[in-house]
Amino acid sequence: MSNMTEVKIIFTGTMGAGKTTAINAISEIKTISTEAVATDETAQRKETTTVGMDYGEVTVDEGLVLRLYGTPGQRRFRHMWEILAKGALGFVILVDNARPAPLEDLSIYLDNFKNHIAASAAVIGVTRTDVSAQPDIDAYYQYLAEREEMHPVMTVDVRRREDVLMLLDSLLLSREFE
Amino acid sequence: MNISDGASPVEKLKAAQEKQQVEKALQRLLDMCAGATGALVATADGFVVARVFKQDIAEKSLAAITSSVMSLAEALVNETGQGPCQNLIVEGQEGHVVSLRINHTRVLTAMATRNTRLGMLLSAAKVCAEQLASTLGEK
Amino acid sequence: MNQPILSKEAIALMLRMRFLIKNEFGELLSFQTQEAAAKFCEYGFRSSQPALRELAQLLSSLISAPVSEAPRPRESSILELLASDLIEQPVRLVFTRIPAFVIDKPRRRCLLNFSFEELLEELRPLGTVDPGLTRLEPISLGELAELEKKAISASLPGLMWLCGLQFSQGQLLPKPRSFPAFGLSRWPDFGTLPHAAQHLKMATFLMRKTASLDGLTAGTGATKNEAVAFLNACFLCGWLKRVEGVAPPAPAAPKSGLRGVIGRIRVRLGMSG
Ligand SMILES: Nc1nc2c(ncn2[C@@H]2O[C@H](COP(=O)(O)OP(=O)(O)OP(=O)(O)O)[C@@H](O)[C@H]2O)c(=O)[nH]1
Ligand SMILES: [Mg+2]
Repeated sequence: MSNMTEVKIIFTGTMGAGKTTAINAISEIKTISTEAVATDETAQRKETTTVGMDYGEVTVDEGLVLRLYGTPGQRRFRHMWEILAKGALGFVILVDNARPAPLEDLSIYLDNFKNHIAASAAVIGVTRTDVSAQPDIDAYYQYLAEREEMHPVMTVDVRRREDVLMLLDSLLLSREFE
Repeated sequence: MNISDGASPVEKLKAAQEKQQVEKALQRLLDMCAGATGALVATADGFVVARVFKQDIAEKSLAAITSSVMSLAEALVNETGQGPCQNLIVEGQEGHVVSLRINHTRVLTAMATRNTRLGMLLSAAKVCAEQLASTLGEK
Repeated sequence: MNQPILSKEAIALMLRMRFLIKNEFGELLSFQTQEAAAKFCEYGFRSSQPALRELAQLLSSLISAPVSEAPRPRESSILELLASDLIEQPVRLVFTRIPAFVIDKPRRRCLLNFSFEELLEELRPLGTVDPGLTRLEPISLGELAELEKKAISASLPGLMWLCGLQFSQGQLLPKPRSFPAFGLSRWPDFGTLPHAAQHLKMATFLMRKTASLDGLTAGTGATKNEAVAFLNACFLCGWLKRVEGVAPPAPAAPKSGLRGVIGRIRVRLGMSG
């Protein structure tokens, strides 16, 4: 075990955007989840919400494991954000495009993980564009430009494994070419 | 049940009723265990239902952390094959904290000074949780 | 009444053609007489549909009346058209090898009489052979409004991206050819644009560094043809940046610990390259 390399990837972003779903889509082990029955407006869309963390794994080869951590989405669980973020290779930020102000939602995570992202990388996955097509990807890039930040922004459906892998790949490539 | 501002009048009334019942039960807990400094009931997804504290505390974050650690403790016992989780005990230098589940959607956290016997705190908390489980039901 | 009676075969051919002609010229033709058959041939030869031209050829050999084949119109390349300012206003494009459609650049869309998937079906068998643009017809605002009601709207960047990838034939477009080096202003949305792992790699490379064509191939392992197609596609979509001063080709990156790890993960997860 001693020469085992472990790489940590964080899935964070808006509540209900699909962090738990994304990790389930690619994990090779049965994921560890900490779902609780939702009692707030989340309940109108889905029964449960993450209150601790999600955890999944992909074994790359005998010496390398990819650890996937999902944070809770809701702000009152900020205490978990900081605990989980340490030492991550990069951040997958998922944004639910069908909420009233997706760009403001995005800013919460960009602001909160600012220092971590500056030291690693981030990719933004825009989900539920089938429910709401606006804001479009141009608006996201415009918004990032105003913040003087640049991260890949991609339309995804995290229920599809290949979409989640695409997000991971762009994160890995961002680190490779930094 | 919705405790946020968007709740309907019926939901608000129910929440107020529950808050009263829970406050009474929490007060009994504090009375039963002399060293207890406070107790709180949160929803499993981290909102405050009611609290009784001898000093000021940041109740909102305490409720959210309660739901996080409770869920992590449950994941821990499940992963290690020791489940289901009955309670969570944390011993700090200045005092003890115990958390237990009341039912599917409610969690109790209670704390006491370090001189208090841990067993006292735990049994008072268990009694309180059982009482609340029967008043509130298995939701 | 003294017209020769058409053979069954000729009539069958005309029936098949009528269906296709109707789509294109919006006219209902009768198909009883020699004269009508000649007309069918004439339409057929003028058509942008290869199938229709073929049927016209057959038909003209069946009927006695001599029909002269219309001279092939001059063709130009779709990429050069898409890169030019000829499409600043809404225009209908008529091709030799694919059905006609309308491009409305101000609103970043194409208007089609068929679904975008059907257009892709038409494009795919062409390989790298250009669709062969033969005519360009300006569309009035009135006509555009009419079209909007019945046509299917598709994303213009989507079409440009595809055309760039498919029809570059190893040649950079004239404008980007004059760029000393390249950068990108944003990642293409690979969630909606068809792509290979190589494209994500090139995009990320050009977002993080600037490079000449040689630098891009050296830095990503892409072939020259792949890189050219990618650069043309990005240029058409408006994401390619001119960078002054040729950046020297990136030296083969040393396998740092992190790079090695990333390489292993990408191979394992099937992200080739
Ligand atoms: N329509 C649609 N639904 C999606 C898409 N992506 C994910 N979903 C659904 O959205 C929901 C996402 O739920 P979760 O995975 O629990 O979201 P989460 O980000 O973990 O949420 P929290 O933990 O509560 O913050 C699931 O029901 C998914 O099936 C999408 O692209 N379109
Ligand atoms: Mg979740």
